[in-house]
Amino acid sequence: MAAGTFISLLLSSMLNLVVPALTQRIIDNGIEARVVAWIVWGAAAMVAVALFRALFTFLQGYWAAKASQNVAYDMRNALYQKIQKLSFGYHDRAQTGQLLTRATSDVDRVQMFVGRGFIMFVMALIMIVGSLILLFCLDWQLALVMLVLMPLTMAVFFYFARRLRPLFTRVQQYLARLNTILQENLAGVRVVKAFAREPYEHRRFSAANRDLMEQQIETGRLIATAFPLIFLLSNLGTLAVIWLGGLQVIGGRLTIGELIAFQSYLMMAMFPLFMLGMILAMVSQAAASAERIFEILDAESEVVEKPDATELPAIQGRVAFEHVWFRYFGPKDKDKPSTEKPAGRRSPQAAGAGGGMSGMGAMGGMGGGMAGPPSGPPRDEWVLKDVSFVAEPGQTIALLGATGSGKSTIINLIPRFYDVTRGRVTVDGWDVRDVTLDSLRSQIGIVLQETTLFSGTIRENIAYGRPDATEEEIVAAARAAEAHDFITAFDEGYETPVGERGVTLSGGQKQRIAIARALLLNPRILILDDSTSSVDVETEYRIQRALERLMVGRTSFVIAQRISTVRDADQILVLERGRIAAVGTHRELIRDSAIYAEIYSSQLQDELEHDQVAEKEVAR
Amino acid sequence: MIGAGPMHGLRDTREEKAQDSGETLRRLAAYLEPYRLALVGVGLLIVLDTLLQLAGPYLIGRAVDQFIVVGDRAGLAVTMLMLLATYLGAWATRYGEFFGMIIVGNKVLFTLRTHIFERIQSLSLRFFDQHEAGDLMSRLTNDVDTIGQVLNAGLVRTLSSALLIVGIVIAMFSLNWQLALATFSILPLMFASSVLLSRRARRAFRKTRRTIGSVSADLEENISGVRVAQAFAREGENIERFDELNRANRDANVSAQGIVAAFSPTMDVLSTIGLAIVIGYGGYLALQEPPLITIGIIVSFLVYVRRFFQPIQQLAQLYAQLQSALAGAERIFELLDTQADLTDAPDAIEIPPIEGRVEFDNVSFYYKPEEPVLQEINLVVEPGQTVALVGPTGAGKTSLASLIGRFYDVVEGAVRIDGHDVRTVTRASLRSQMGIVLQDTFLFSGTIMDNIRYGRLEASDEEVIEAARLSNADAFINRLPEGYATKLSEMGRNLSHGQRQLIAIARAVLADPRLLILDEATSSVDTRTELLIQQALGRLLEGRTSFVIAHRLSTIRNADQLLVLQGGRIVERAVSTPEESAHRQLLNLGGEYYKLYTSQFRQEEPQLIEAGDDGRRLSGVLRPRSAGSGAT
Repeated sequence: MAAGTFISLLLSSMLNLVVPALTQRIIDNGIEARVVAWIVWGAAAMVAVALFRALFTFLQGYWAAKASQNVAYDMRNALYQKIQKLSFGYHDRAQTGQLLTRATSDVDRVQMFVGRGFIMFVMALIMIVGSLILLFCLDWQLALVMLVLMPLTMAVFFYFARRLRPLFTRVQQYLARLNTILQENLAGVRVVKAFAREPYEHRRFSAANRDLMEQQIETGRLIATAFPLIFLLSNLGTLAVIWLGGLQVIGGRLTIGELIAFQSYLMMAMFPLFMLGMILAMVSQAAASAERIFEILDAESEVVEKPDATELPAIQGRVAFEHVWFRYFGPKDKDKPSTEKPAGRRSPQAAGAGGGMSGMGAMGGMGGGMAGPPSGPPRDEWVLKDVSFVAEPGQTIALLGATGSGKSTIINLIPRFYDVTRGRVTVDGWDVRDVTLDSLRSQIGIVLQETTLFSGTIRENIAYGRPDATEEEIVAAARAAEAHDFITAFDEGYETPVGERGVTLSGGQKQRIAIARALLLNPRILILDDSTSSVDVETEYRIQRALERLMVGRTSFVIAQRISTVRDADQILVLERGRIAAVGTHRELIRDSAIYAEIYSSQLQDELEHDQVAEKEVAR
Repeated sequence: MIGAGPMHGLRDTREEKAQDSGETLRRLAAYLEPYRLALVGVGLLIVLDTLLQLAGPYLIGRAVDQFIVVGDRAGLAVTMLMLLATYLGAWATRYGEFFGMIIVGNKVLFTLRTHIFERIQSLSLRFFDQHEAGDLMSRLTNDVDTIGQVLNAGLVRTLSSALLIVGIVIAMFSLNWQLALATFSILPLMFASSVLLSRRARRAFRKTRRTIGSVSADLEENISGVRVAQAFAREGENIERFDELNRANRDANVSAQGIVAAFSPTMDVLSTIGLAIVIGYGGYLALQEPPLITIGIIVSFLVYVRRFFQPIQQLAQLYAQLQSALAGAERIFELLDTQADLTDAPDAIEIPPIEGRVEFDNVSFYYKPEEPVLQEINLVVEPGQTVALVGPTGAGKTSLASLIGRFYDVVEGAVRIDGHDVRTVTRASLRSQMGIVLQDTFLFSGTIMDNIRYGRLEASDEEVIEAARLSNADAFINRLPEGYATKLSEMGRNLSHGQRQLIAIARAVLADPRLLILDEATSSVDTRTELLIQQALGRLLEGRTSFVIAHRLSTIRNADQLLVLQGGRIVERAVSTPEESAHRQLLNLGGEYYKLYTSQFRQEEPQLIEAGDDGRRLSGVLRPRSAGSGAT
């Protein structure tokens, strides 16, 4: 197709040259010689040539559009695939608005260049070379003017292109910041309205909007300087030729006819220089955007599937942590038992701060702390310290501990959302780093803290992990999650749309759909993170029963807030600041562990206090 | 679409609906209005530029005819210096044109983006229930961008092209009007074909704007939800689905560009027909006895005709941008035209400091009449009282609470605060005296300090820290290495749920509201954090009129009023008396509340027995969280 585009381009330009010649003949042989046939046939030939030329121009335009749209299409797909596969570690630091801007606006910039700029650029270069040859054949002395002019023009071109590029990068960064503010504003619209913070949000948006405008004006000013300058240079060439040529004519070394001819060829040679001026902006813009796109495409996921990763066979569900140390940032240990291919090994620090996110990082610096360096929990501190335990198939493991003690981290390491920094995690003896992510994760059912539903029907959301599930399986999962009744209460039942454009579900309803989604996988390993947090009492009770049924025969990890779950667990891991402070059953721990006893009794005590308060109330 | 009631949603498909492009253009032009002077200036520069462009060939011709031919070196030098001046002038004017348009263009874009944002901000929650964030974002960025491309470069070129066309037409008519008329006989054809192509192109470009909106929406959703996608090993399907949307966008663009690609050759063919007419008819005239026209005139005409069609070709290039911009503008104006269904009344007053008396007077609320959300709610809450709302999921508890802050408008009846109908006061004055702790704790990117300060922007650092202390958030914040300066990642993902809730409570404490709404804010945290939160909430509730959803049974027992909702109605209610708590009264009633309570109690029973082994007396409530989630 690219070849076709260029052949069409060539043919249509050649046909372009035919028309003036034809016109010349019609005038000379037809009108002047008074031959009617020449006039009639000549005019007809002109139209015929135009039709052919039109065909090739169309094909060239169409194919160029198609090629450039395919480039955009491929880039978006590649970005999407990459974003879907980047590890949690990357997404902890990335902002949705940032990624979105790169996948839309930046891709557009590159597409525009490929669609028009690139072809114009190639055409201009060919024309410059061609006309230079012509000029030298005609008069090499005058052609020397061009030899001065062309490099000068090219120098101006490249100078501005280089200066423009960082400016365009900044424009895109400011655009991404605007997008981030907007995206956050839309996601948090309830909080914005609840606190009547519209004026504040407006100011925040306005500031970013103004920055973007000012950056665009600054960039525009440079373009406004560059383009007329290139135009001026080519005009100066004409001036030099006429002046010097004129002097030569006066000196008798050149005829007027030759000078006129030279002048018209010079105009031909100048045209591609104008074109360079026009595509200048497009080139720099595309380069800046392409760089931003490749930053994502080149970003290294901290979690990389090994080239020789095997499919994890159907598992029993034995999960073991062997001396696991973990921190969010910082180099992994060299002596890690299992390492990916050395070439792909960059420390996550370098991949994150130095490579993939450098644009965002730089922006954070100048943009008033938007993306910035990773934040939150002490990244350079150990989140897990030497954690070892074994969960036998079918056991229920309850994780207990204060906020930030490392419970969520343990759970995130089993499906390999992050890689351990030291030590290893095994499932049925397989190091999770040795098996494919799909085969591992599809055997683990997870109910995350945040209930995220996607736009689509309720059915699609339940079948999220297994799009091929049958109707019966979906309904069974919904029943088990106590979701069937409320679903069928909707007019459209399982076909009810949810997500941003669908019905608004209550927190409890969303949660039950999320549970059904996990149940449908019929996983050997089950991970429940605050799974039944916001449902009403009765539903909670029913879900609880459903979950108890579900956990039978599966290895289950539960971040439990309620004592009853803890009490029934086969093992309780009490975590404190990244260490396992105590392990055992409820009976063992209540006897042996001071920390556990404290957690347990503090809860009871609180309830007692409440009772006393209530009693006092009643007494009053 | 659910709930597409009285408010207009943004239309889904707009292909069929041919919109008045004149109207869209007029509205765009209105945005240029404030820069009229600058635009006139740019216009003058373009005229000057065109004149200078014409002066160049004239000076060159003069140099050749008058000086080079006669060998006048001094005269040549003078003319050349004049030519240099002309070129420098052209350079300066062009710089002015470009720069002027860049400033005007970007200011217009700034205004457009501001208007879009203001409109989005003014819309009620119902709008956000129905529209994808990604599509709205696409309107503010991608669609505005298409307009920017036309304003920044297109407009100048269009104007100068149009100017050239006018000049050439005048020249042609003054040369030979018959031949000119004959040449322009193809203009109607040209006009007709461009109108035809425009119409199709616009339809095609509308589709491109819409498909890029879908692409953005899918991107936004799946970037936000990437964790779930990975957890369910669902990347493959997502990639396939995105591929479909992406492909649709590509195909829409290719077909739009295809029409654009047809435009220029069509004009080319027509202009060559124009040339053929000049030659044919001109030749015919020249062959007459005596000749009605000289060959010189024909040659000049040929030059002019080619010059005439050049700017038209240029306009054809701009044409794609213009069509795309118009399609983008339509989407922008559509959003701007979305009626805010909730606006302050024109005579709305600032509500004076709230005492806290809340009254629901026969309130009904629904999106669709056949699906009532709330029906005939009557309720009076005295200042300082705590109202507990319980009932199954979907009973209307959240809706009821949302009406107090006028996040939605009642359909019938009225909600009054201290006797003021909430529709008669400004929402800003109302909400600034309310504190709301929502189900989903939303944190913004920024530091913890910033996030707490969101409750009261002018609060000093000390006040923020004091609020954090009162809400028991101080301890964990201080344990972070950067303390209050710790930056939060998107949605505060680097904090646990419990920590996020503590921050949300601190935010509400800092706001020091007269009215408080708690919506399931107390769920899903570990036992210790739970205690901290309970304590913090106890302090928060004191002395304020409070509506609490899904709180602990212990809080229900302490409530001054207890409302049981079912199917949008209050089915049971009680007011605590010194003798008997509302909780007790309703239990004794043995109705819905009793059922709710006993289902809870039954669940606790095995625990009771076992816990009894520890020799402690237990109430029916052992697990704070499960007991607490006594409602939705």
